[in-house]
Amino acid sequence: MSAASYKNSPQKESPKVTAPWGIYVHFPYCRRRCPYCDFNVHVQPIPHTRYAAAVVAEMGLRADEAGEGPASTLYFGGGTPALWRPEALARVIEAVDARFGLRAEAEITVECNPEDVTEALLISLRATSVNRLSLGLQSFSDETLRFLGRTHSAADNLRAVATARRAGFDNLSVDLIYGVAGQHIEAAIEEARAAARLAPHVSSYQLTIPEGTPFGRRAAGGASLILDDDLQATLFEGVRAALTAEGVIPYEISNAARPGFEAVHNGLYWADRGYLGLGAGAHGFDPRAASRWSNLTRPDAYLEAVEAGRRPEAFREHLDPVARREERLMLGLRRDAGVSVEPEDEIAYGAAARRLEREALLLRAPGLWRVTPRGRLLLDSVIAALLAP
Amino acid sequence: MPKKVRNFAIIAHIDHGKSTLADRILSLTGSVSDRDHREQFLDSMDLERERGITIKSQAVRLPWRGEDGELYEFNLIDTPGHVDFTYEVSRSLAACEGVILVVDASQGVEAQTLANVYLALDNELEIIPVLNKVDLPAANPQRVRDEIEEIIGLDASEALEISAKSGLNVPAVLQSIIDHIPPPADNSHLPLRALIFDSWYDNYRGVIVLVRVVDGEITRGSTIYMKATQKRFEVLEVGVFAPAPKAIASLTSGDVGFVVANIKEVRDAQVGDTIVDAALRDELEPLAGFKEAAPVVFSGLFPVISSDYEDLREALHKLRLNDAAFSFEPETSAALGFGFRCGFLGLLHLEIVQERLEREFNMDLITTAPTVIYEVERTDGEIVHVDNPALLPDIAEIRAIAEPYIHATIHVPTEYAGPVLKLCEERRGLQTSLDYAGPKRMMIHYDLPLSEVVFDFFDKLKTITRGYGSFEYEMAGYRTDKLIKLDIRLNGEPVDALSVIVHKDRAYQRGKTLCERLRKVINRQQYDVAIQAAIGNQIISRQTVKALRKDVTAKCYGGDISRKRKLLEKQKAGKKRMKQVGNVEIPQEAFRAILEVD
Repeated sequence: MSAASYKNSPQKESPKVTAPWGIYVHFPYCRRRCPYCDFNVHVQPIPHTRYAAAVVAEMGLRADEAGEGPASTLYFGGGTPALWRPEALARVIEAVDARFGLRAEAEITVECNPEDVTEALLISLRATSVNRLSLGLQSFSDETLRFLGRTHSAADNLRAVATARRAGFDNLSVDLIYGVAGQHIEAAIEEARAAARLAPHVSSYQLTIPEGTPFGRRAAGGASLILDDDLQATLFEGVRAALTAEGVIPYEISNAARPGFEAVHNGLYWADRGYLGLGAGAHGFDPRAASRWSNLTRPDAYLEAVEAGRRPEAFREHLDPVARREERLMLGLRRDAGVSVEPEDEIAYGAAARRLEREALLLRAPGLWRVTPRGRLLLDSVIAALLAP
Repeated sequence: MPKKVRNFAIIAHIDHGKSTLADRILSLTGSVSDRDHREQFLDSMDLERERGITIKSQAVRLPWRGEDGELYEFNLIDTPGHVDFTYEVSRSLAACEGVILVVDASQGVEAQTLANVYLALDNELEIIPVLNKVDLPAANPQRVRDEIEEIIGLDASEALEISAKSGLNVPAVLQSIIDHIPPPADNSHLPLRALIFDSWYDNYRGVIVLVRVVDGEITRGSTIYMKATQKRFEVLEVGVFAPAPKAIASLTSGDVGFVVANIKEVRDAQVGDTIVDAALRDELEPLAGFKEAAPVVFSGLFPVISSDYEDLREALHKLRLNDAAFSFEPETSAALGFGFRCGFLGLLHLEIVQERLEREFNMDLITTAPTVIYEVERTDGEIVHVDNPALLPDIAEIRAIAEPYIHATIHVPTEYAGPVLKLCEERRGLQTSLDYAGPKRMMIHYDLPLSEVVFDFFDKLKTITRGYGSFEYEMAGYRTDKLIKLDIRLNGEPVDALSVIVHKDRAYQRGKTLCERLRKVINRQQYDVAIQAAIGNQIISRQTVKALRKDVTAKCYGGDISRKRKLLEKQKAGKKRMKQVGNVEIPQEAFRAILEVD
């Protein structure tokens, strides 16, 4: 955000350094649902203006749950937020800036599908303060894209990246999905290499098969949709090595970036920072109140609640100190840099940590724990072993 | 003048309608009003209702006016209905002068019908056969009459055709009780002797003892003496269930009712024991037929979470207050830590205890493979009894191992005889006789090792005979055979709780199957896990669970951390239920896998 708007923000009198926090806006509409997707996604007509008005109104309902000082990030996720009319999206950004303020260097991201990336769209987005795009390329193989039920081609992917560059978006992140059944290890690694050459940030996710999705039903019926664990492990390490070789350095389980291009917004999740979730099905976290919540997932229910002046909440939990500590370690260990360790962590989990260290799964330095490469592959078991010795 | 009392029980094969008839009699005699008429009133425990079997017996006093206009006092004594409880049934029958034999008019005579009839004949009881479910389309009363005459040798020409469900002809059953079952002998002039035919623990009153007074009378305030357990008690209350408990002044010769005497556990009031007047404790002979309840099947019960050990001990104590047949003592397993070695009458009894512990006491348990008591002759000639494979002496110190046998009687329609014979042969059985019981039914007698029966014999039998086969057994002493201990090792470490004693000829097959099953239930871990079956130092089978290489959630989507933490909580809960042996985590199911081997 511009320095001018920062000065206009309500927090301008407070000179103290405040904890970074972010805002997540969920846009729940898609043209179609991908067969592996269990996100809060709805295929229905989009009420552009009404939805924007509701998100803006929700800011008022949740003002006391926002962080202190201006926000460090604003992230539009979905769904397909690129389907939102740019003027509606711009209205939300302006409202955020007016109510909470946005730091001068704030990271403002919009997720896009390659088929939606047009010059016209990007020019409109450039006119707002959006400064980062997250492109759901998923694969550079037409066969894999078809298998994943995507409607764009590998050629569309390249075109989208070029269009983004031309429009002046240098802070690009691309998403890849790998581990699809039948995929050749070498080919998948080559795709990671290609992604690293196209964008300074790569999120590479192993395909997971959630229950209740078309893929979930096929898997329950016996279809084999993903590579087996051993190949997945080989691929996981191969992808990380390839990205590293290209200068895109892994810094989290599934994320890698050229230095300086790490995702600020996602970083808040792993660093135990607060984030205000807005929109249908959005999740929020207020560390001061040790409180997590999520919104009503159905757009109509969400809209009705907000328009009636009610918080559109579906779920809220208060975390006790133990749960807070467990979350901090669970999330922090996802980062390659590791998690800083408080004296109370040593007391509670030190014995388990030493055991994991002996098993070459964890590295312990003064005030810092991080996983070894093998520990990273087994992170879920490592966390369980650490927290439930 | 003889009392106008009739003491009777209803006997039947499972599902032939015993409980339904009892319900119908209760409502006809006005003892249970429709408003509080529960389905199958006599089966009072939830567990019993779920399993469709009666575990504890009860005795209900019912008033009924006969066709002669006189008021009669019926005592309906309910009996358990499973092979594991044959002794309890025999004691309940000993409290009666007659039984109503209920036979399903479509199913006909089954093995259990027969076994109960034999018990009734042993007790010299009058037997009134009735044909139930005659209103069903499949009913064939004439065929079943013929069966009763051919197989049991009872005159069934006058057997009543009834429907306990609709109430058809049930009043006639009540009249035939008056007409055919004799009143109890009146020995009220003799000193007190009473038969205990049931007892259970009540949280408020202590043990409630159900008795049939044979001689003399029991009054409140008198001092009684238990012949077998040799304990004295002062009687605090005597009464009857009508069906609600009702205190009365005394129970006299021929009566059935309850006694409360500040008894702390059912061990002190064992089924079959004789209550006598304490003043004549040495002069009076016990009534015949007492047998100490002896467990024959043993299994280790361990808390999944080690810190629940004390809770488990307390739960077992509470259960034993109410179950004289069940025994337990502390056991330590290298693999499972502290637990208890428990003895049961049979597998059903084991399952019931296990379920009650889990359901009523919220215990989370690991149950090790049930085993029988082996008689081991050591090289020095000493005989030791082993109820835990882990405690078998070293192979070099064993001269011979003998195992308990049973005489089994299997009653089955002819078309299923082949598979039954095959099953018995597979279980190392020795056929002793094979008889036709009527044109379409066979009675198959086998001597079988008890250990081969405690696993899933009964279930198998039910399956291969589509539920028509039924099974009775009695203990038949010990026989020496080629028995050896089969050990399971995980990454080289023997897991004592997975050891089993098997016949030598089957050890290889058993070891192989066990390893394969364990491979399926043991999760991939951070290291390869070698599963080996061994006899002594000789490895006879091996499987490997390959090391887990990848176990990591790709994404925490949109800040949904709660979901991620729920997964963690699930994983943590799962871990708590694992037992760690060396560096291997063994899930609860692994111990169950032993049971399913076939």
